[in-house]
Amino acid sequence: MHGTGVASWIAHAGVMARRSVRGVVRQPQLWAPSLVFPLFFCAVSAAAFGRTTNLPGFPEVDSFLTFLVPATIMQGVMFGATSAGTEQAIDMENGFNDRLLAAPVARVPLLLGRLGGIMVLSVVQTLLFTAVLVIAGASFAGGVAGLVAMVAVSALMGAAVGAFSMAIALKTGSVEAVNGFFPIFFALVFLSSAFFPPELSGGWFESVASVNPVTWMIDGTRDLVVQGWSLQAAFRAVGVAASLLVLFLSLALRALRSSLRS
Amino acid sequence: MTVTIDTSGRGDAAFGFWSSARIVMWRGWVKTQRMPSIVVQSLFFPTFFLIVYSGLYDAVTDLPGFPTDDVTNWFLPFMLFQGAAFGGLGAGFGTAVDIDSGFFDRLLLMPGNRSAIMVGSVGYALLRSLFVAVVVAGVGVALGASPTDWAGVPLLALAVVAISIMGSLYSLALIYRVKDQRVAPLFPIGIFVLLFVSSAQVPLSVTTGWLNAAGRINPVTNLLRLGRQAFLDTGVTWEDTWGGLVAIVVCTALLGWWAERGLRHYNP
Repeated sequence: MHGTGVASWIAHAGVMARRSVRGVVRQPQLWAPSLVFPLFFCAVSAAAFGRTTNLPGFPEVDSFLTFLVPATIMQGVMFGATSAGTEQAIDMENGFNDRLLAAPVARVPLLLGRLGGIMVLSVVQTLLFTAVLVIAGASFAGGVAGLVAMVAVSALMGAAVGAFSMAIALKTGSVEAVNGFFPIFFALVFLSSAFFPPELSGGWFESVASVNPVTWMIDGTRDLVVQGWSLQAAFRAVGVAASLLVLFLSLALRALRSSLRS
Repeated sequence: MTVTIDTSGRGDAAFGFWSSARIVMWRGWVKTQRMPSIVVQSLFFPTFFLIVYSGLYDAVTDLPGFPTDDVTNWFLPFMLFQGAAFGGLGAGFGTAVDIDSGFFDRLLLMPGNRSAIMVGSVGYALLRSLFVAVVVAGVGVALGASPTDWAGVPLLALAVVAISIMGSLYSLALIYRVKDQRVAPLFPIGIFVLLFVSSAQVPLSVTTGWLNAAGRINPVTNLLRLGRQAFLDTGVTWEDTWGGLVAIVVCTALLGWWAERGLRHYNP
């Protein structure tokens, strides 16, 4: 495992990714809420707001459940991905991180490996949610290409949120601080087009949602789910998620460098 | 130093039921003041959801069967309930911390009736809930909510107090049994499900499928009917009142009995 080449980077990142996946899978309190709550909220909203699809101006869609598919998946992925920061902070609090840093390994793969683990979990979560929602009656017009694009968006978005939460963890070393930043993503999801068409909401909500990057991403994935495969929609959704990943990953790398100096 | 032990069973006057309850309540309130983050957490969700829902679901009131055309009027009582219920859970969370630190065992050594500890915890959580309710109501008014029938306002206040007490009793009943702080974060799940599987978001006549069936047998639906009358075009009616009153009496009695039994059989 020694060395500084690309091969050793990949090997170290792989070990960290496996550890991250195992760590999350073994702690149901980390993954259960991000599985149960989005599905519960989707079930309740579909039954409560099902009749709103008949309102004038509501986008063409066969059911409110189908309308909610991208929102439910992104909500689950974004909430679940904060476990990367939680795990990092726990490792810093219990001293395991210091032992990792004492080992002859490059530092960046430690961070990338954890994000790799979150990407794997995001992919699994997306496939599981899609299956559950289709069985519950949602339609998916995008076919295999649409599903692949949605999985890519989820993986990138999971890594982006994971990178942000790791930046907080590396900066503060506190689980409480990581959890304290959770409402930011909560707010971003609810202040977007995730749960209702903003053009029907109107007023301040429409203005806020129109400049929220989560809206751009959700709208892209929703086009894939409702209207079918479209290269433009796929690029829009993947592009937003990839841009957020670049932004948050640079924050995490800066926080890592700063934590290594101190 | 001479130590006098009271073996009469009645306890010292200073340790009467209500004075003990008041001390427990006051201690909880002082702890809350020293950790404002606890109240901030209770405030965040109802305030955030009220602001978001009043913008997000503005068009929902255009659906046939909606008893108001003002979405803030519709959602304000629900958010007051949410704040009161989660504020009420503070009784269980506070007790969980005390159990973990060993302070609760020392409280049990207090002369007098054990139930005073439970009543004090409920009282402290009620203070916290009322503080949250006042702030959420202020935000609602700022967003444009306005009572259509002032006779309904005391009924809404009664429902908010009742929801807070029920939330407290529910969390205390659980923590007296599980005695483990790590389980406490699971307490809100039951409240969350009960609140949302009701007429919280839209009237029952607008809901479809399983939610319609589940909402009909959920007592929270009756409590919402009672509390919402102040803000709906229909005003206060006995038809929308009696079910909520029955729900308050029955649920409070059952949860109180459950919590009291848990405390009576509590063994450290």
